[in-house]
Amino acid sequence: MGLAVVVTSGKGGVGKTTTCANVGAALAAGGRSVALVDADIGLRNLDLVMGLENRIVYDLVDVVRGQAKLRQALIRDKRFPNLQLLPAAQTKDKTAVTPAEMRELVAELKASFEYVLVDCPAGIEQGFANAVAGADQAIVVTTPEVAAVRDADRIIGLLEAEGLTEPRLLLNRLRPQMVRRGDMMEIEDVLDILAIPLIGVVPEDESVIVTTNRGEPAALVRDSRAGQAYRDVARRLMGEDVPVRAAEGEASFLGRLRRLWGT
Amino acid sequence: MEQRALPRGGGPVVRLGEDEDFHRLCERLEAELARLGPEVQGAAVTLDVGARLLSTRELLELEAIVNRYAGVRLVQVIDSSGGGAAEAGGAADAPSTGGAALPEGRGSARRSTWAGPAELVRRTLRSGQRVVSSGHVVVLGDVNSGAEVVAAGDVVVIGALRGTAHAGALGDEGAVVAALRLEAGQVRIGRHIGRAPDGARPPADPGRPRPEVARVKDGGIVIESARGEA
Repeated sequence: MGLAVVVTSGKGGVGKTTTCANVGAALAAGGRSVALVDADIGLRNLDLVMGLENRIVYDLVDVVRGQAKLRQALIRDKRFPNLQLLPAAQTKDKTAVTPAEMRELVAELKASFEYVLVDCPAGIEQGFANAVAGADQAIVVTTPEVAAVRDADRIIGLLEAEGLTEPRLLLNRLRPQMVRRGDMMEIEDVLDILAIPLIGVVPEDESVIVTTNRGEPAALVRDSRAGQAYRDVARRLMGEDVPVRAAEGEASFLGRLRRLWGT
Repeated sequence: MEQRALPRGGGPVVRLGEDEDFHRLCERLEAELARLGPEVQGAAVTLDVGARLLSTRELLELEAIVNRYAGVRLVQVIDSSGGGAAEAGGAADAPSTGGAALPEGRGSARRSTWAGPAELVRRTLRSGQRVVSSGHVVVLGDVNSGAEVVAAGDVVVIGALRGTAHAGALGDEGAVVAALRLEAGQVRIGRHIGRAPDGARPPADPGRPRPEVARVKDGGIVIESARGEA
């Protein structure tokens, strides 16, 4: 029986889809079987980031309505046969499926995959309720900005109400130089407010934009700093104890992180 | 949200329609309690009000109805609109102080006159969550930006207060808001609203809390160091 993890944030544009694609790719590169579920019905994106848009025949809504079998709708990744994507429907909306249907679908995926990553849409309405249904764990993605942090806080409260009481935080697009100048929220500031454990800190990295547009997750690019951070997140998800890596010349940054993890 | 916070204590949950007007809702509650009859004796009742937002006054009325049934106490009002739950009487199992009159609108500027029970909220209130109480509220945790605590009595936060706190919500101007880290941009007591000056002070060092108390003085809200509080 696999593990279902929902990747959520509340606010849009903080990197949920990118996180799903990269962590999924890194897990698959590590030999795990992974299903990526795009739960953002009506605003399908994960297929693009994975570079799989041309292969879509059936989607999540087709499966839920019984118009396609699950294995017909799953798209095998170009790079890893053990990585598969269940795309969202683009022509429907969030009300096309119910949380009960999603729960059933995720359970079915868990039977044949070690990891099921669900890409949650932004917002707190039915799309959120659908995406978290059936999840065993949650990763909350935020950027070090006050609006994103407040939305993450709201989401953590809602996750608790759904029984997902131990979400982990992925702090995305951190710019250590700005933090050092005092122009960006520090990791401590964010953790002080949200008070949940970290699963990773991903530095701002232009290579993510390039690789995302190419449909090739940065986690598969060896010298990408963000890619490395995503690979570390995947390893932590697999239960490994991974120390924090130094972004070049960020001694103090690393020192603070060490303290946060208590290592 | 399909699934709501689970009621505590396993007592009966009374679901009340969220579209009905408040008067009808009270009637429904009476009818439900009467129907449950002996089953609710000594039970901890949870009210589920769906997406309705209750005012403090409405909450007090509902509590009064529940209290009319022997041995029954209201433990929780679930309000899905905030994704959180407003809990009543969490700390005080004893029935509320007999006949304690609600504080009057023209409260004195002295100590809180409210002698009702205190509620203990043993968790951090996150953005969008709301606790409404007919007594004092003590939060063991933070009240984050976007969260709300409304109490007829005092609000005490053993942690950081970054959200909205409204003490003396029924008009008691002797009520106070106290926090280990008072970082809220706005504090309300009775009919007064106090706002932090623009370009507010930097957040306190998390390592060194500075307990502070907000109270009404000379018609405005002032914030003082909590040291020397009796």
